[in-house]
Amino acid sequence: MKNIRNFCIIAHIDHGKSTLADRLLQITNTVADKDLLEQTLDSMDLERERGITIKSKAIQMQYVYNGENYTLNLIDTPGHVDFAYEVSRSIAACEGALLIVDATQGIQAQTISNLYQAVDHDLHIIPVLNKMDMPNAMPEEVEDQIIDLIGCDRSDIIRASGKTGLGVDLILQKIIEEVPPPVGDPEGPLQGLIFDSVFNSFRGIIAYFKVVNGEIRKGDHVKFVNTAKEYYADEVGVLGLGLVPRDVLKTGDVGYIISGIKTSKEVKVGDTITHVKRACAKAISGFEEVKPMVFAGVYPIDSEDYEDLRSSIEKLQLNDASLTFLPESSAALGFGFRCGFLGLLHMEIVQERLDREFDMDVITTVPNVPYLAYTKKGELIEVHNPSGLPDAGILDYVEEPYISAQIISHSDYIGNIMTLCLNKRGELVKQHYLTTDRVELVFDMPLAEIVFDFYDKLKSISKGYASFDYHTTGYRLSKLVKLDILLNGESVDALSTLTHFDNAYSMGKRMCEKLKELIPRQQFDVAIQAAIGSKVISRETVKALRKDVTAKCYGGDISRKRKLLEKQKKGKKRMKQVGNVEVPQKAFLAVLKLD
Amino acid sequence: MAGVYLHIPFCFTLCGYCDFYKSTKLDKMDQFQNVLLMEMESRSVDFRFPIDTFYVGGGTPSLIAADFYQKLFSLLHKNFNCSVNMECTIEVNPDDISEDYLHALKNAGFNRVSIGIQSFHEQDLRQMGRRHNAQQSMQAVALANSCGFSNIGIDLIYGLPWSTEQFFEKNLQIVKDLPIQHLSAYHLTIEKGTGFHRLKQSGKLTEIDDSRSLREYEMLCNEVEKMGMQHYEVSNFCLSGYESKHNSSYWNGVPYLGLGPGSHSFDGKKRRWNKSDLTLYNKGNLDLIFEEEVLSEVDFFNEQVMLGLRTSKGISLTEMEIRFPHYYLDFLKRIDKWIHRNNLVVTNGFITCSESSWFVVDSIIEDLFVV
Ligand SMILES: Nc1nc2c(ncn2[C@@H]2O[C@H](COP(=O)(O)OP(=O)(O)OP(=O)(O)O)[C@@H](O)[C@H]2O)c(=O)[nH]1
Ligand code: SF4
Ligand SMILES: [Mg+2]
Repeated sequence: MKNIRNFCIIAHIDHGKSTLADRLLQITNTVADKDLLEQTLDSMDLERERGITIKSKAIQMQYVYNGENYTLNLIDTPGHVDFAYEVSRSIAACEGALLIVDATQGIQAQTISNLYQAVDHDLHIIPVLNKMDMPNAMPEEVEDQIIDLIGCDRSDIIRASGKTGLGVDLILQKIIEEVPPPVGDPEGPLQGLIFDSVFNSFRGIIAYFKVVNGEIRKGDHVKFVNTAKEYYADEVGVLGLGLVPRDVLKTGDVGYIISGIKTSKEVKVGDTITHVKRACAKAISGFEEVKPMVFAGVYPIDSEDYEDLRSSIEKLQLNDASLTFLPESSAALGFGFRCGFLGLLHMEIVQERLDREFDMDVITTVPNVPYLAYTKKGELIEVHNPSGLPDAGILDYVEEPYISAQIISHSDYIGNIMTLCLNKRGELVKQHYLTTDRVELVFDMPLAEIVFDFYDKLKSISKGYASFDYHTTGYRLSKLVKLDILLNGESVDALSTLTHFDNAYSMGKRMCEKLKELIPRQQFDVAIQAAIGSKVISRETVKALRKDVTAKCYGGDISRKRKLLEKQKKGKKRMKQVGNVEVPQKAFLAVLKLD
Repeated sequence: MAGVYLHIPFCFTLCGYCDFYKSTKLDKMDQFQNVLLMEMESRSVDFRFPIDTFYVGGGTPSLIAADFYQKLFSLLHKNFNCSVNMECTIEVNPDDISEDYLHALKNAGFNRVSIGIQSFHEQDLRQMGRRHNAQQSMQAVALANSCGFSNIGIDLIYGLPWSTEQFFEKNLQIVKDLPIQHLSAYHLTIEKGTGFHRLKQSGKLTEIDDSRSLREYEMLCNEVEKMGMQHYEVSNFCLSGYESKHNSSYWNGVPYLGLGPGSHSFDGKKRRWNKSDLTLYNKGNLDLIFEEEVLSEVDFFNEQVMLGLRTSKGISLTEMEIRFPHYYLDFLKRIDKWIHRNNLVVTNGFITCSESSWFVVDSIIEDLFVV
């Protein structure tokens, strides 16, 4: 046990965690050079394409230091705020963390939030200044920021590069010398902390866990404390580049268990594994269910694909426990599902995976955050979609989720950022200079305000420099209204949104304008109206198509013309007929594209 | 029944709206003529249909001296089985035609001329980059008529951004008094690769709005009707009996043989096209100059819908039922909506698109397609 080191790599998005992990895998010969890719651990297609880490990855490395053999368990974490919960679960399984800071960027919002989480769990922090190979690296300045932030010595900071391998030996040395080995009672009752799970089509659900106390053997009869389900450990092992079966995992080990688990729901991250006989006295604390904070309708373009969509989402959920779904129906779109996501990136990724891995063409509707509606009778209703909002007659009041938003930026942009956040109903709660020209601002804000276009706006008003992180803090009273959209007089439920009263008018207007752009001209005029209750607050018209004809169609034009019209028709297949109006897929997400 | 089409891909200067395949490299003309005669002879081996129509288009066929056409006709008669009253059309530009030239064309064997007039207004002609002026526009028809052509067609373009409805109306008034039997009137379309397209992209040319387009179209239909002409295809009008037989064969699925670079052929089963590449063509390796595709049942179905709805004759329901039994019922279901909206009409077993709906016929065609 004293030769085990469990550590994670944490950082702001894109600061080079996965690339540095490559170097560690290489130097420890965990992955043969021929198998090494850029960001080897980003194994999902989507991760590779987007160049981001979506899921945490654990991998075990062996390293000889001063003649002794060490087992190093590394967990690479994602940087994007939507996946912050992945970081927290990884942190819980480690004793140390490499805090990577991009030497060209400096401390950013997620650097701080991830650091705080690690410190909360008493992890030993090893600060690493990465991308030192880049000509625009600012080592002294960023070191000052790091020293300020964690109160370390300048000499504690390792200058490194995931590109060139600079500093990687030193990182390994520090991990071994400074990160404490896991503590725990090897003789005690089994206590394993589940920190992740993945789905494998051959093996079923594989749960990743850390043995906190005791040991687990292949074949053991075990129980997951929070779900109270029992299993036999068909296989246990450690995580190399693949699964490496072992007879036993001992205190301090990080590994996996395969036990015939069918659905990801049975594996709650943070749950405790123990033996059925000689169970541990209590579960490891800190278990928390991930709560989706963004909900949207997901409908098959072709209503006949409903069952296929259900099974596709179920399969996706197998390795994405944070995705939730419930059946929902819409007059405009038919049968579909109300899905819960961690954030907009998560929503985008799910949609893309549905398309790519399951060939499911879907319409996603306007997302909203979860609201709490209290009726006059005192009932509490959680509202996940616009039609779920109780009638004004019985509704007493509504609460909406709030977040604490942390923004780090060059001080030049404070003015812009303040204006943006105040317009988004934010309240400044903290302003703190990290250095003379870098400032950290903290706002209390409604989550609903950042779901839509906040991040893009923030980037553009700060010339891309501001970084942003948030966590939810609770619910507050809200003046919520339901904004309806009518096409040729018919209300289209799938286009309704929930919005704060103060935003409703401008939102209605912009929705109408955007829809006018997106809805193609048809054989008749299409009236687009936005309404609150029975009151129309905005109106636009898509004029009827009066001319749609090819002037010439002679010998040489026939094939080309036919193919062109065929192509157009295929494009229109992706449209949804709402009443007599053809509405393109992307119109249902129009609200996200408002300028 | 079948047709032969010849593409003469040469122009003296280029017009801003035109997307036909053509070149201004007139020095390539001699070799082109040699290859063309060779191609005609060679392709005739496999194209054994009796020929009812012969059409020389371009480009600008009137850039070529009449004796070439003489040669062409003798080769045509030698190699093909030509019917006695074969329709023989040549496209000419108003500024190329003299009395002598027209006589020579007639003697060579042409019995129909199609004159690229486009407009009778000086400004239009200049903006479009036409070589001729308004006066030549006016005289061209008279000249063809006096040279003994009794089947004369002209082309007009409307929907011109710089012009007005009144100017187009004047064009129609002028047409009214001309001794023509056929009129093709095309709404301006700005196609990729044309001079106008470049102007449009740089913001110097903007297409007119739909409502004006529609008004000009309606004016066209009204005026032409007053002239006693029939509207027999979206963009084509004629006196009774003077339909372009050659162009009609495109719409009726009749085989045709295309010769010259950029020309298309159809043998009843596959479509073949010569690559739009004069340099390649002039090398004379006839095996290398074309590409082709075999049409599937769906392709045929869609073509039938597309071409049928563009003509006043329409689509024969009986023919659809026989040729496309798998798609027929669904087709009937789909036309229903358009019949209800008065866009399509069924009479005597034919579905036709009403004249007023021709202006949006592409959306109807698209809706009826099988994809
Ligand atoms: N020049 C240079 N580029 C680097 C270095 N480390 C990473 N990069 C580049 O920075 C980008 C982000 O690297 P990743 O390793 O994917 O970053 P990450 O922190 O894992 O990103 P997320 O997982 O999405 O948060 C990639 O384009 C890398 O090639 C480095 O040391 N030097
Ligand atoms: S319109 Fe006729 S003359 Fe003008 S470029 Fe086209 S083919 Fe040549
Ligand atoms: Mg990464």
